[in-house]
Amino acid sequence: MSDSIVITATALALAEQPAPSVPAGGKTASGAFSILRLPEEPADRRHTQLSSRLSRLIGELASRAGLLPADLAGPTTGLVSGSRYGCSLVADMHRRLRELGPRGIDAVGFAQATHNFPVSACAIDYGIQGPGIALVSSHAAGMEALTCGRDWLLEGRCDRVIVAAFEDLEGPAAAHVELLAAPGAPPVHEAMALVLLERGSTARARRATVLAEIAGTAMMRPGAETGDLRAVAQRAFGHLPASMGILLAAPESASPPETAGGAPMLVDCLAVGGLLALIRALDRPGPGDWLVGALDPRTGGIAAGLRCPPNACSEVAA
Amino acid sequence: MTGSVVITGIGVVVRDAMGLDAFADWLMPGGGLPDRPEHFDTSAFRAGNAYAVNPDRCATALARLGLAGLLPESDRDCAAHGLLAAAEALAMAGLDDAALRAACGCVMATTSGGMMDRFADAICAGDDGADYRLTAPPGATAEVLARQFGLQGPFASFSSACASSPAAFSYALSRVRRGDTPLMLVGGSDRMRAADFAGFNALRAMDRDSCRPFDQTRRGMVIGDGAAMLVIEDEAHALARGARPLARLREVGLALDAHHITHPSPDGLARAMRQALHRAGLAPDQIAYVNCHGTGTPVNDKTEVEALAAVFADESARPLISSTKGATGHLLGSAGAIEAVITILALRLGCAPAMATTAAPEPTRFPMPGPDGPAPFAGTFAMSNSLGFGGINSSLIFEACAGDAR
Repeated sequence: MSDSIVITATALALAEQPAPSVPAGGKTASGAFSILRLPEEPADRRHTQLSSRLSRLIGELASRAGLLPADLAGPTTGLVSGSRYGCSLVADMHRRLRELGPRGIDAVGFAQATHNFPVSACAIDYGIQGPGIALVSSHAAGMEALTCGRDWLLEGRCDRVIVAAFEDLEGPAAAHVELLAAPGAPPVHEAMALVLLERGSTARARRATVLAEIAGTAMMRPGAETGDLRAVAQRAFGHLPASMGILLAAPESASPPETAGGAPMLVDCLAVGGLLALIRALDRPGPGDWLVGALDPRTGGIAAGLRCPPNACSEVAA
Repeated sequence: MTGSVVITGIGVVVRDAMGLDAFADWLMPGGGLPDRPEHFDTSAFRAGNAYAVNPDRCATALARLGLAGLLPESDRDCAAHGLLAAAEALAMAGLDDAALRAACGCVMATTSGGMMDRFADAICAGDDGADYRLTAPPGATAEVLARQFGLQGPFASFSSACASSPAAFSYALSRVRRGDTPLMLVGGSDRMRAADFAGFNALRAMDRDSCRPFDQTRRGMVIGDGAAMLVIEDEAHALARGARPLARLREVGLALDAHHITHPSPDGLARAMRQALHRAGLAPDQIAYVNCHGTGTPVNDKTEVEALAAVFADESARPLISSTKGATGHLLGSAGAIEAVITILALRLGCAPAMATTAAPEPTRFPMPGPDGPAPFAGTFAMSNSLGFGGINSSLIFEACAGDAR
């Protein structure tokens, strides 16, 4: 009999208000367009702003799950990240090369510009030796990371997986987000969201609080299936729940899920949207079934069916 | 769904060959030596040789397939390699039917992938960057492929340094085994950039002349670019529609070192190999050939041999090992995909490619091909290993299918 996959902790950093030191973005054709940046993160030389934030949030996640940092060490913990724009230092490295020539590139800076650097740096911090990879993908990249983590647990590759989604909209990434913004688009929020997945047996053995069980996941094709969320829920849960809440993150250009399932739109934080939806669902009081996920109009998306037990509520920290 | 997953299509683009047959003919005798890339100047770098695909050849091939014009002229980059390789893989798999393609997913591996560097250049020059609207993000190649070929199944794009491709294989394998789709297009596509040269030069990881894996005089790697794409498919589904299985994808092992950002540890790779073997239900002595990561840097090759010696401890039953980076160069994020193809070719042909640049091999205590010709081996299972920056390790295991050699 296969083990269940459960969520035992979440952690979130979301730019809800513009940071005081950051001007409010540029202008689109129809008016102001803002990118809300997260505040600067103190980082030592081994880290970047991004990897430093991830390392700190992993510590918070472990604490909320009732784990010590040392509990994450070894091959029983995996780490996966999902992002739309990945590590913004890639573009910065190209800029330095253009402006300074080959001497503008140093070995540490090159390593820090790889998209998997945050995963690798945090694996070193905590001694994480299970599977570890980085997705730099669609708006659904956070949900793709969640799917990866669930795969690893179902396949017995490890006992727990830290699933991370982030957007770091520095420099050219911010300019590109603005280029794509529809007239009058709402602000895009930088964010980082973490979810701790565990095998049910592992969580029970250490008497952890289970925030939700992931009943299953369902792939959504671009365009075609977003109009029928009942079919998506059927696949995600294995049956159609009598009642369920729906939280799907979708970029502005996607077919609004409200038309099909009564789901409210979330703030736009790109690939973090799916995990933000999940965390928002867990933040609602009481038991219930939730269909959460993210949808990219070009490439489809992923929804997960969550079963939330009574008396389990995550703490969401801004 | 049977749980057994086969490869039914393969496409390859490298500097010296476009297409699987041309690639096999060129590779098996040992390939060729690197030279200066034609699309950017490497004279400022300490080591400037590479295996770079000629952009004009690429554009001509795209035009021949009717794929030219899909992207703005300036965007015929990483996605162009992927388009060419994907077109071959889909045709070989017989995926002409729109409904089959709609069921097919797309999972890509890359390092820098999109065109964010060119987008940044454009906006710095005062341009609005609109040419790069769709192609700038790192995962853009996968989006281009999905759109061009009508692939609407599961989608993802991985960028986990030089272990990106095995990560993509792992995700694709899970999607097929879990029944999310019966078939996936999976592989890697990369285009080298000046920044890659600058970075690896800064690490002093590049050889000025050629890459000599496992050679006593090895000094480093040589970068290459290109793409390799494969169609993986549930075996029952493939057989039911009359597709020809080329090999089975048996398992993937994944493990982090948690050791150092640029210095690998043998422990992580050993765990990845053991995980793949365990999951495939195989003993080490059942592996007949290992296509190593074998970058030709002093540290990588030494570390890799230590890991291999730990896993394949019985010296009387050790597999043939080789690295093909002396022939193709290091394709970065797509290295694992091209080396998966080479591993499948080796299984089908019963021999590993010659290591033409390795004239004075290290005494590794593993059998290796010589520089003069392919090395035959007998066996059903072969492994392909990849190591990435930051201690990301992976191991793929393939199984031969009965049938003709190619």
